[in-house]
Parts: sequence; structure tokens; C-alpha cells
Amino acid sequence: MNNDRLGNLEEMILMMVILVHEEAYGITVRKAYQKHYEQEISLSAIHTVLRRLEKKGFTKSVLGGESQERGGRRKRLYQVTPYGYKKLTEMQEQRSKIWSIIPKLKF
Amino acid sequence: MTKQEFKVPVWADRFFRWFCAPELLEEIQGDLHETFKENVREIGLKQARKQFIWDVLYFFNLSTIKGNRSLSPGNFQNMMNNNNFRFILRRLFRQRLNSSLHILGLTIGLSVCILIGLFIHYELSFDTYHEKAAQIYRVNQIWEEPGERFLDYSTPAPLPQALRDQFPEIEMVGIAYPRDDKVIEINPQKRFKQNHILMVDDNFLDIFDIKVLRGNGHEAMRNPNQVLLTESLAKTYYGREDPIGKTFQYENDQTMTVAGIIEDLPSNTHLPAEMLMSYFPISPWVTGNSDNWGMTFGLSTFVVLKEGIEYTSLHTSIRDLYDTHINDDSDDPELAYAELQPLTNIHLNPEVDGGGEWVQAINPVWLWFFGGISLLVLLLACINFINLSTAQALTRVKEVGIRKAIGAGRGQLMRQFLGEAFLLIAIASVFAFIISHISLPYINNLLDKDISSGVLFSVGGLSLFLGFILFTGLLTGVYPAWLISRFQPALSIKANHVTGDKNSNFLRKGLVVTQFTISAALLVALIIMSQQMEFFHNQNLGFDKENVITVRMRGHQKNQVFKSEIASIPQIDQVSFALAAPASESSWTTRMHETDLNDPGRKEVRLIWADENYDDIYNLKLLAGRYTENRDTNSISASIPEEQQIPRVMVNEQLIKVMGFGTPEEALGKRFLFGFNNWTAEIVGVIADFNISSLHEAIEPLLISPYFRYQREASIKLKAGSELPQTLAAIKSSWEKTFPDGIYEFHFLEKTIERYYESESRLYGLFKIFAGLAMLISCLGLWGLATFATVQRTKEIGIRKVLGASVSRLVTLLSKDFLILVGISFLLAAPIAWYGMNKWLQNFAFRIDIQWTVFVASALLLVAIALFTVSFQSIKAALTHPAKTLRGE
Repeated sequence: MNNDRLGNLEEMILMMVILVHEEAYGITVRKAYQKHYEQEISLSAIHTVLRRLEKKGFTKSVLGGESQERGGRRKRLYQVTPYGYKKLTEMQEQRSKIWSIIPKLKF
Repeated sequence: MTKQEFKVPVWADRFFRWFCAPELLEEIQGDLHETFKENVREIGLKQARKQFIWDVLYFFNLSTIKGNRSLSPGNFQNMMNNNNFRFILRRLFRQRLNSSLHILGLTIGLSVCILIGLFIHYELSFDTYHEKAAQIYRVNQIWEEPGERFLDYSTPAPLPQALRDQFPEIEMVGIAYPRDDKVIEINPQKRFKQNHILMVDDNFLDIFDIKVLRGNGHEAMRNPNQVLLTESLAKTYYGREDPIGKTFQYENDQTMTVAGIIEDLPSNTHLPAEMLMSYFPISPWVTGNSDNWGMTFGLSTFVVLKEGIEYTSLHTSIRDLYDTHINDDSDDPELAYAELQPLTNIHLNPEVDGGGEWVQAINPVWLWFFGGISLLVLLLACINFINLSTAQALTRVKEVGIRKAIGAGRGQLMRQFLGEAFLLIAIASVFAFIISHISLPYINNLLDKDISSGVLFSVGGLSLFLGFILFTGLLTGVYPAWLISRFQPALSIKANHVTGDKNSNFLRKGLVVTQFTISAALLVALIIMSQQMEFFHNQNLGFDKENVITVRMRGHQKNQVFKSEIASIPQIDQVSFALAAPASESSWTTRMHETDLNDPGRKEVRLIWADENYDDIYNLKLLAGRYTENRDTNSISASIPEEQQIPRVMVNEQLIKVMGFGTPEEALGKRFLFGFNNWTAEIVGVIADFNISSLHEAIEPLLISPYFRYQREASIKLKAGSELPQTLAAIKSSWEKTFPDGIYEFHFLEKTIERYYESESRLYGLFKIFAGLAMLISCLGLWGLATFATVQRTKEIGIRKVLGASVSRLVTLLSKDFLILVGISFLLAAPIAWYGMNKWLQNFAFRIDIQWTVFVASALLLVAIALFTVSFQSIKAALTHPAKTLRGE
């Protein structure tokens, strides 16, 4: 099992978790995703990926922050783990390294 | 914002709570509600509710549904339950071959059931869509005389009014008079030959569910020369123009006004009219008979009974009505009366003139037959399933043993195996749905019908289908589940035993025999049917039908003009004018007797008016005397006293046999009366019998006379190998020159004759497919069993090989068991098939004899198929190196 792999969608969403910071749960992550990537995504996809990220150890979560809006239900707030952050940084570095060596094309 | 506005769709919320894993419920539901509230503000309540439902549905996936998550805690028992689904999936994947055999068989079985179900439903649905369907009846007239009985859907013209006046039980009476083959002229450039015209009165619109989209339908049907067009016909006639108020020429002599538009009629009605025309008969012949009780000309009467009236209770009084009006002629042995026929029965009763003018009724026997076939095919698929599962069960002994040892109860195991069965069936039914949906257009094409799969998706259709699935699932799943869950854990883990018990072996064999009995019977039936079909097409009808086209004339007056027009076309061999071609439905039927047409001993005779070229064109065989010549009746005219009007005629053998005229030679010069102006005919020639109508019917007595008045069809014999398109074009232009205001139409006689057997060949085509599928399913089953049997015996084979058995011996050994089963099946199937096909052949006056070679051939074929199926496995097993199989020992 490639349990240490960070897939493309996972990566995109992990970055959103970091971006939203403190308040990262299903809805806020989805909104950030829609805003920054300018594409639609379903709530269930966000939830599935968030759970997968946690299972792989890239994030951790706590329950909390119930509100009137939610009928008193708690939300699961996600936070990036050092491992997740490191993985992300590695991927970015690797990407820029590759980007720097591929020929620059003009179209 | 009031509380009301925050309401999420309750059922969706509840549904979510039901399927969502409990540990995820709170957070996700919170998110859902929060999103919903935000959506209410942003896109409104209605959209938000819709969005909420979608969101819930998106969550219906494997990672959210409860019982599926490996993270879920719980004790061992629970784990077994929760993971059942996963076990089943794993197993199905691992046993790919077996699973696909299961699924393939069931898919075929279910597809066949769905398709046949749709077919039967369609046939049964005829005319049921009318709101008053249960109260609507057609009046059928029955002519009876000793030994004979004719049913006719057409009733005398004065009947409707009499019913209206004298029967308080009848709520409404309406008439319908189908007209076909009429020339419609929108403008001189735009002319049509129109069929499916229905002349009706305004009551007709109240009796049947006909939706008038534009115009006042009732008003129009009360006034002369008004028509209502269906939407599509209006489009054909006038394109995008507004059809209302437009006029067109009908049969070149009447101007009709389009008074309204009706919705297209559905295909499942026996009167698929395209045009409704107000009933104001103009033909002097029809008006002349408007008070004549003794004449029917195609007009049918429909009645609506008041609610709660039993229709048979009216029959006596209707009979009284007929007694007063028709049956007063004491000389006539003929008796007429009428009975009511329920509307919904019309399509299912071919006894009454084939059902009606336009749509052939279907014999319900066919529906039973196909219903039976579909159940048999499904049964075969179920048998496959049971056989394969029980055979496989033996390989699962260890699994069951271990599960039992760690605490699985029998119920739990049964649930697992039943679940397995249901999952397979569910997959198969999804495939079956898709397959039947895709193949429906082909079936429609094959049957020339317009069956829709819509009913499948109705509540009734779906629940019936679900019930069906449930039934199939229980039928196939229960026994294997029961059998497998019975294994004793101690025994099953300890010993390496895969022998299986006697009982289930016996059952399996019994099921294989059942399967192959069905297949063998279908195979024999298929061969016999194909022979009969072949016979239809190749049987010598007693006349030449090759290269003949028939062209309808308009009346007989211009026959000679047309003849001289086409005389210049070199590719034409010969032309003859006649009432009808030798095998045709348009020949007449009347009565004949030596002295008195009212004598109860009178006989039926078919009548063909034909000129002197007729015998040449069709190559009729003369047995005695001479062929008739045109002068044999052309000299008859009104100026000659009637007693002397004696047309000389030729007759067929059957006629002299029926009339007792002795040998053909003795019959010459004999005279008899026949029911056309009470003429007396004198026999001048006797010809050999030929088939006057389809091979369904026996040859009837026939009289051919050259009387010219009704010679309204030209038979044109083309020279073999002539340039067909040019010739046909030349004939067409000659015809159009002769009849500038008509619309030309021609038919190849061979095609016309083939059409008599069309319904049989269509249904035969369907049967062929289903019988083939049944065979396929049986073979799948046999193949699966053979695979299993060889696996079971690998060690035995290895040992035998080591001891010196040859490959061929081993193949024989492995195939022998199956061949014995197939042999037994065939012995069972042969008498069943023989009996059934004998019954079926009784439907045809001309039929093949069932030959023993058919049985030999199908037995050989069956054995070959079985051997072929089994040999794959047995040869593979026999070729395996014994070292491989015995290594483990």
C-alpha cells in the first residue's frame, strides 16, 4: 500500500487545510477549494479526502466548535501534522527542481 | 427568518442518518445542515433543498456508509457481520470465472424474462388505455348454418340506431368504418395513397379516448366532409402550415375540410386511425344499403354498456332483434345474430376476421408459449446457479469449518451465502436491465411492433421485477446456502475431503437432466419449426409465382387501354387481368349447389374472375376439357333472357370432388348454380388444385370464369433476367398515363405470398433467439460442472496416467458421465417435443411430417454440443502431467 503517497487531490486539499488554518473543517475547506482552484467539488469528496489524509497521518483532527447553525452539532477540525507539512514541502521542492531543469518553451 | 424556512427535506435527512456510519454522523450532518442554511440565504429555499438532497446522495458512498469501514470497532461477531459484504466481494473477485458464469447465465435468463414480459404486456395492453375500456364492446355478427359458422366484426347499417332505440342497458353506440387505399390530393403536386382512414360518428369520440387538440371534434363529426387529422399526418400533409380549414381532394371527387387535429393514437390499439372522417357515406352502394339488414360492408358498431351490466345478458334480446329483421326468410337455412365482444379481447381473438381491418390479433397461445419459454430459460439459469454453487460448495468446506470454529452461527453463514446469491443476482439484473433496454429496438424490428420499455420503470413494473428478483434469489440461493452451512466444522477442517455427499450429487445430476431435457425439446422444436418455415417458402403452390408483379387497376374499363400502353415494353412476357392472383385474399367466396342455392346441402366456392391469359401466366395445369376463353362469358348481356346466361367456367379438382361430379372427364358439361346473380355455370375445363390462399388453409373448391367486370388487377409476367428498374419504371409511366388521377402501386407476387407467413416467421425468429440462449445457458452450466468435476478428479487422473491410461481413455472417462445424462435427457425430451410440435403443426393445413431423422439429427447435435463443452476441460485434465497433480501427495 502506498500509504505515504500524497495524491493530487489530497495535496490540493491539504494545502487548503493549511490555508484555512484553525477553522479547517468540511465547509471551510470546500469554500477555500472553490475559491482558489475555481472549480466545483462535492462536500462528500472533501470529507472522504480529509479522512484519508488523517488516516495516512498527514493531518490530525479534534471535534469541537458546535454552533447554532449546525443544530448544536460539533465539527471535526483538521490541522496539518509536521509529517504532512514536511511531505508537502518535499513535493513542492521536487516540483520546482524539475521545473527548473525542463526546457522553457515558447508557444 | 422563521423556523419554517430552515426545514431540510426530512426524508433525505433520515435516509442519511440511516446509512451514515455512526462515528461520522455528527460532523457530516453538521456540515450538511450548515451548508443548507447558507444555501437558503444565497440561492433560496427550493434550490437549497434540492442541493441538500444531492449532497446527501453524494455521501452515499463506500467511505461513508456504515458497516464498511475497517476502522469500525466492535467484537468478533460484529466484525464477521460487518465484513460479510467485503468477504463476498473478495470471493467473487477471486473466483472470477465462476462468478462470471453465474452472472452470465442469470443475465441471459433475466433479460429473456424482461423482454418477453414486455412483449406479453404490450400485447395484453391493447386498447386498455381507454377510460371506459371495461364497458366498451364491439358487436360481432355471426352467420350460422348447419356445419358452418362465420364471425364478422362488420354489422348491418341499421343496427346502431336499433340498438340505440331499443336497449336501455346501452349507454352509447358509435360506428367506425375503416377505409384504406384512398387517393388524397393536397394539390396536384402533392398526392398520397392514404390508409387507416376511419369514418366515424361523433359518439366515437366519446366512446374512445381520443384527444382533440384543436378544433371542435364533435361538431366536425356531425357534419359531412369534415376530417380530423392526427398531428403527424397533418405534418405530412401541410408541413409547418396551419392545417385548420385547409381542404383536400378525397378520391378525386370530394372536397374534405380539415376541422381539427387529434393526438396521434398509441400503437396499442386495434384501430390505429390516422384520419377521422365524418361518416356520411357517398357511395350509392352504401347509402342504398343503409336500411338493409342483410348486408354488411365493413361498418362496425361499438357500444358502451352502463356500469354493472353483464354483456352476455344482452345476447338474447339482440338475437330477437336479428330474428325480426333478418331471419324471417324461412327458405334460407342461414341464421344471423350478433354478440358483444369486450374491447380488450379484440386483439387477443384472431377468430373474428383476424381481429379487425388493420391490426392482426395475436393468438393468446403464442403469449402462453413465450411466457413459458421465458420461465424455462430462467429456470435453466437458476439450475445453473444451484448446480455451480453446490458443486463449488465442496471447495468451501474449509472456509465454513473455520468460520464455524471461531463462532459463526449457522444462520449467519446462511446469510452470507444468501447474500452472495443476491449480490450476483443484483449484478445480473442490472446487466439484464441494460441488455434488454439495448436489445428492445432489435426485438421491435424483428416483430414489427412498437413495444416500449417504459412500463419497466413504472412503480408496478419495478416492484414486480423486484419481487421476481427476490423469488429468483430465494429459489437459487436457499438450497446451496443450506447445504454449505451444514458442514461439520470438525470433519471439514480435519480431512482433506472434497467428495460431496450422495444426495447433492444426485440432485445435481437431476438438475442437469432437467436442463438438457428442456434444451433438447427446444432444439427439436426449433428444427421442426424451421422445416415448416422452409416448407412455406418452397412448397410448390401449384402455379408459377416467379417474376410476376400485380398492379391494381382503377375499375376494369381501361384494362385494354393499359394493355396497349404496356405492349411496347419488350421485357414484359404477358399480361392478364383478373379479380385476384391465385394466392390472394381478394378472391370472392360464395355458395353453390346443383339445383337450389337455399338447399342446406349447398357448398362454399371460391370465385376468381380472370381473362384467358390467366392460365398461361400462372401455368395452371389442365386435367380435362379446355381452358376458358374470353368469349365464354363476354357474350352475356342483359338483352339475353336470364335463363340462358350460362357462363362456361373452369373449376378445380376439389370442386368436382365436393360436388360429386366424378372424374375430370365426367365433370365436363356438368352445370351448377352459384351465388353470383344466381348464375348457372357450365364446366368446360378442369384444372389441377393449387393453393388459393395461404398454406394455413386447405384447398377449397374454386371456379374461374372470364367475366370481365371485376377484373381489376393486372398480373404482369416479366421476362427472366430483364432489366428490372427500367421495366418497372416503364410500367409505372404507362399506368400513370392510363390513370392520370390515380396513384400507382405494385407488388411482387412472391412477396405478397411471403407475407402470409410473416407473423409466423417473425415469431419464429424470436423463438430462435430464445431457444439459442437456452442452449447457451445449459452449456454454460455443463461447462461449469465439467470444470468442477475434473478439478475434483485431478489426483485420480494423475494416478491413472501413471498407471498407463491413454489420453483418449481419460477423456472418455471424464466425458462419459455427462454424455449419459445428456442421453437420458434426450430420451425424456423426444416424446414431449414430438407431442408439442404435432399439436403446433395441426395449425396448418399443409404441413411437414415429423421425421425420425429430425430426432437423430438433434440427438447427434446435442451430443456434439455437450461433448464439445465438456471436452475442453477433460482434454486439458487428461493432458496435464501427472507429476504436477500428484506432487502434493
